[in-house]
Amino acid sequence: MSVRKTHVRMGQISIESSPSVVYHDNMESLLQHQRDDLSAMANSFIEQTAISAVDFQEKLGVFRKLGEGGYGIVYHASFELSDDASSIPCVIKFPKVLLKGHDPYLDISSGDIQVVSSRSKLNKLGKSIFEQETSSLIRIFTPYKRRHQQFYDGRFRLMRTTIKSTDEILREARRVHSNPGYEYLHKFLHFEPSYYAILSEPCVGHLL
Amino acid sequence: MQNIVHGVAANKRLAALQVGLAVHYLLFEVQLAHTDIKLENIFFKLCPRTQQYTFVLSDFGYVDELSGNSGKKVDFQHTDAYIAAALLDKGVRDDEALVLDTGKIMIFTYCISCLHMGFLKDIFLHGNIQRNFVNPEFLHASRLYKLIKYYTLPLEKFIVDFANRRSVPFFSSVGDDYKIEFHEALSRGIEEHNKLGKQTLKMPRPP
Repeated sequence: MSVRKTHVRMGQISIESSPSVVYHDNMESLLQHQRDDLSAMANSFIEQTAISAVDFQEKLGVFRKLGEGGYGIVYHASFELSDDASSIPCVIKFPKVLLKGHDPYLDISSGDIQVVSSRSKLNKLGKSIFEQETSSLIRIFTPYKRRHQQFYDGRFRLMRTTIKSTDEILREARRVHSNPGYEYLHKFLHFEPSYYAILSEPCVGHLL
Repeated sequence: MQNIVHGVAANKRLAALQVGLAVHYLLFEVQLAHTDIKLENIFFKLCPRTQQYTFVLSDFGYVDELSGNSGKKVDFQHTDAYIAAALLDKGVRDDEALVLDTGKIMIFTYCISCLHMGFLKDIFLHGNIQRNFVNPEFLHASRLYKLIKYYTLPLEKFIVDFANRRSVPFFSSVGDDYKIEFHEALSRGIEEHNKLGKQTLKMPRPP
């Protein structure tokens, strides 16, 4: 599967094909956070990339439950990276309506995602709340991209960006990411519209 | 593992300050109010290298924009057991209600710092601690605040200072003042924490 990956380097954008990008920009940011250089900032502009529902299902392992909120249920999970067969720990959040009720759409009791209902039902239940949650995440973690992206076909995509505006975005991104409070937000790694799931950075537990 | 986190005073103080910084970011950097702040939405991570905990605010399904228009009336999203008293009175959300709700973080983090966790859980989940506190109104932030003042030691001065500056409920009106007070209270707390010399925190940016 070929997917597009956008690189931003010091005010210029190049687009190239990459078969292996399976996770969202913030994963790159997190992995490179300690380096604290511009490349980490640049990687935060990687476009939300496509992964098939089958691939996602095969690479994901779902473990014990971490918590439950008004919108969703959160589980400990791991996700296998594309090339090197290593996997990263993470947590995954599914909309509650897809897992509970008389006729749930998903079954994760086996540790894998099992689809047990129709796709139309999934879309009916999950799409609106997923878009609400993901748009909030985008606003919170990348407010500087708000003017430069649009939600299309279940994913956020960068709109055409000029070199000048890219410089502006980079400056704004550097300022936002250096805010002391940014570090203490639970960061997302990937949106998966196939199952309306959100992968986030791993945690040990919560305070209650 | 969670017992370890709850049992160490330094971790409780750290949780209060770190989540305070996250709330500061949301309020002032992206002008959003997290309207579902509760203990279940405060996750913690353990750095394998330093063996230090980091606390992060999670679950952004319920966030609302601070519009600057206090007359705006739309449905308010929240978890029922954690709704602020002012929201019950109004029945709708506006900026004042949002800020009130955000003020709950000071209550909850103060509880983290000062109260036995089982005690807190009983209050919120069962309401069966003592006869005087069975009243459902006890769930309101203002009632809880009175309880906290009565039962706890002033370990977290920044929260106490913050709370004492306003009559209950915490924010009598929405304006620039609340931003300054929140910022100053949090800054004082971080200053005191950093004097201890463990896991230094960065100061929040002025609003």
